[in-house]
Amino acid sequence: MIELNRRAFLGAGGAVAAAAFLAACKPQSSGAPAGTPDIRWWDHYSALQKFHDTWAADQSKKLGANITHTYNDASKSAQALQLANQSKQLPDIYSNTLGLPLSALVQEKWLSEITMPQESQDRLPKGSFTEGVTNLDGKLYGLPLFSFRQYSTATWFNKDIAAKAGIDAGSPPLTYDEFRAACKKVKDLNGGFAAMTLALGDPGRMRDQMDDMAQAGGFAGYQGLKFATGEYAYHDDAYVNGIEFWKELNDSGYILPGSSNFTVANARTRWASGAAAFFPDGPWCAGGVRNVAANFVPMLENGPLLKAEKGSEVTVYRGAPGAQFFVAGNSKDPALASKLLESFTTPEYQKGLAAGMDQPPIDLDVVDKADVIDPYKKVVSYFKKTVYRAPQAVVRNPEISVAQSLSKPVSPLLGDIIQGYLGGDITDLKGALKTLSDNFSADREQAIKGATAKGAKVSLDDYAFPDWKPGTDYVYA
Amino acid sequence: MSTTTAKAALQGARQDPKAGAYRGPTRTKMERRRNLWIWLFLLPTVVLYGLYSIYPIIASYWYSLVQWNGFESEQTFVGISNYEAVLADPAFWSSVRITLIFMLLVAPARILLSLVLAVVLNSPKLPFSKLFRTVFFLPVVTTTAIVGVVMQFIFDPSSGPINAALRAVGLDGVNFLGDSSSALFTVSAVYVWKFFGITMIYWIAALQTISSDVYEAAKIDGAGAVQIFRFITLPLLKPFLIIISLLTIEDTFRAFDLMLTMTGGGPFFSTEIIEIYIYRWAFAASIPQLGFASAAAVLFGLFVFVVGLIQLWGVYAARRIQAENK
Repeated sequence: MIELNRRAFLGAGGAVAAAAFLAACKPQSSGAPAGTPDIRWWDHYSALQKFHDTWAADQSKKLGANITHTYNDASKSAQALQLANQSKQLPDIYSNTLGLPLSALVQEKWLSEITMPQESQDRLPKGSFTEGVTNLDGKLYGLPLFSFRQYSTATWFNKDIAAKAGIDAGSPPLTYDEFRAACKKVKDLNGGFAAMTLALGDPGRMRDQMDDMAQAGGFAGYQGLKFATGEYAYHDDAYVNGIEFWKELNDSGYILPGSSNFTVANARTRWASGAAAFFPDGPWCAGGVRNVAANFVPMLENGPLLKAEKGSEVTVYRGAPGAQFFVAGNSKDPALASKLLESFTTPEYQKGLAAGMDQPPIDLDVVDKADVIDPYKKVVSYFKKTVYRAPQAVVRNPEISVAQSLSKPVSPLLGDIIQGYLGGDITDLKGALKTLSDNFSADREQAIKGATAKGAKVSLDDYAFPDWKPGTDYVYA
Repeated sequence: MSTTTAKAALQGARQDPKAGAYRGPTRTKMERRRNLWIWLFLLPTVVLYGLYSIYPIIASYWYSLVQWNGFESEQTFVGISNYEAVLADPAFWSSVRITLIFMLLVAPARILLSLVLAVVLNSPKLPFSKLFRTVFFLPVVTTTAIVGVVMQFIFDPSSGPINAALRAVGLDGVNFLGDSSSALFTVSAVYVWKFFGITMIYWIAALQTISSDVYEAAKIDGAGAVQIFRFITLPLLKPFLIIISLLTIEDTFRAFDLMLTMTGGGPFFSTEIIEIYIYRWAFAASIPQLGFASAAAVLFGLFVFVVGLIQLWGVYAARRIQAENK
C-alpha cells in the first residue's frame, strides 16, 4: 500500500489542480473542422431563443463557420456588453441594449460597418434604414429588425375568466370606463383571481406603458416631449389622467396583490397561471406566454390600447425603426459577421421572427403568412391602423447625437413616480411630474451646452416640429 | 539527516565561532527554502486578493475623479465634482439613512437572539445540541440570492404561505415586500434569520472559554440560572461582546444580494441601501455613471473604514478588559 504523506498529498493535489486548469484553458471543441472561423452572437430576445439557436446552427453550415448563439437577459445585457468591451471580448454580433447614440458607438469603436449588398437591404421595407439611427455618413452600422409600428400596452386577457365574468371576448373593453366596469365584473365573481396585474416592480415598463396611455389619452408627443414645441410636459393632463386611472384601479382592489414587486416576467407568469383576468402587455406577450406556459396559449385574447374617452381615436407615435443588431468593432471577421446579419433579411428569417411572436418584424405583412396565433395577428392589425411615425430631433439633425451622449440619467423616472404614487409614497402627483419635466429640461440644456462646446451645431429648436400633424406619419421637410 | 542531528549541528554551529562561514549558508538556505514555500502558498491569495480587492479599490478612487459611462473610452477628469454631486443628491442621503436604520434593526437582533440561543445550546444538559447548532447554522451556508428569491414567494401577498396562514386565522393579508412601510422590516427579519447562525457560533466559542469550575463554584454558593448568567456569564463575555458587536455591525453593511433579490431597493426606493444606490448608478442606469457611482462607493468605503477603526479600538479595549479579568 502506498503511504500518502503530506508532501505527496500536496504534490498530487497540485498536479490535479494544474491538470484541471490546463483542461479549462483548452478551447472547447465544437465539432467543426480545425480552422473554421468562429462567430459569437449575443442577443436579449427571450421569445426568439429557440429560433435563434436553430438559425445559428443552420447558418453555421451555410456560411462554413462555427456560430454560437447566446441569450442574455435584457436587464443584464448592457452590463454584459460593457464588461465584454472592457476585456476586448465583444461578441461578433450583438443586439442593441446600449444607451448611447449610434455616432458615439461608432466613434468609440463599438461597431464595424455592416457590409451588405443593396439587394439584401432592399428586401426590407422602404424607410427601414435611417441616417443617424441605423446609418452614419451613408454607411450601415445597425440592422433594423422590428417594426416601429407597435406599442407595449395592448389589453391582453384570459378568455376563460372573461367568459365567466360575462365579458364578450369579441368586444373587449376599449375605454377607461369600460375597463373599470370589466374589472368590477371579474372582482364580483370572487373566483380566486384578481381583475388584472401589472409589472409595477419594473419602472422601465411602467414608463413605456404610461407613455402609450398618455398618447392614447391625447398627449401630442412621446416620452414627455411635445412634438410641436419640443418642451417636456410630463405634467400634461394626459399623463396625470392615465396614472390616476391606474391608482383608482389599485385602490379599488382590482390589481393582483404583490404586483408592486412584479417584473414583467413575474407578472406575465402569474397572469398565465390564471391569477388575473387582464394584463396590459406588448405583442411579445404571446411569445412570452408560449415559452413559460404553452397550455395557456389557447386562453389568450386581446383588445387594443385603452383610450381615455369614448369617441376619441387611439393614435400612437414612434420614431424610426431602431438598430437592433450590430457587428462588433473588434470582430476578427466583420465580413462574415455581416453575412450572418444579411441572412436576417431573408424571407425565411423574417417568417421565423414573426413565428417567435416577439416584437413584430419590420415587414408587418409577413405576420399574416407566418405560423402565429390569431390574437398575435389581431394585435399587429391594431398597430397597422393606429401607430404612426413620430418626428425625431436626431433624424433631422444627426449632430443631436452629440448632445444625447452627454445626457445624464434623471431620477426618479416616470416609472418610479408611478410606483411611488400607487404605493402612497408620493401624494402630489402633478408636482412630481412637473419636477420630472424640469429635470429632463435641465439635463437637455446641459447636454446641448456641452455639445455646442464640442463644436456640434445643435439647439433647443431642433426638438420642435411645428409642422407635425396628428394621425399621420411624419415626413421631414 | 534526522531532526536530532540537524538540531545538534545547528547548536554546534552556534557555539563554534569558527563555524560561522558554514552556519550562515545552511541557515540561509533553509530559511530561503522555507520562505519560498510560504510565498508559494501565499501566492494565490496575494494574487487573487490583489486583483479582486486591492486593484478595484484603487481603481474606484481614480474613477471617482472622472466622468465616465463605461461605454466610451473618454474619461474626463472632473476633480471632486462627483463627490459634490453625490453629497448634494437627496437620494444618497436617503440611502445612508436606510442603511443606518437597517443596521440598527438587524445588529441588536442578531447579537441578542444569537446570545440567548448560544447560552441554551451551550448547556450540557440539552440533548441533540449539535443537531440544533447545525440546524440554526444552516441558513448561513445557503446562497443569499436564492434565499432572496424564495422569500419573495414566501411573502407573496396573494399565494405565499405566510399570507395564507394569516387569512386562515381571519386576518387580512399583508403586502410585506410591496408596501414601503413594511418592506425594510421584512428584509431585516429575513436577514437576521439568515445570518444569526454565524453570530451564534461566535457566542458559543466565547461561552466555551468560561471554565465549568466557575459555574460549579457558583452553584455550590447557591446561585440560580439567572444569577449565574447575570454575574458570571455576562461579565466574562464582555470583551467578546465588543468584538462580536463590531463584527456584526460591519457585516450588516453587506446586504446587497439579499436586498437586490428581495426588493431591488423598492418599492419607491424604500429599501435602497447604499450598495443598491451605487449599483443603480453604475449598472442599472440607461447611461451608466461610473464616476458618480465610484464617488458614492468611496464615501461608503470611508464610512466602513471608520467602523473598522472603531473595531480595532474595540479589540484593544476587549484585550484590556480580558487582562483585567485575569
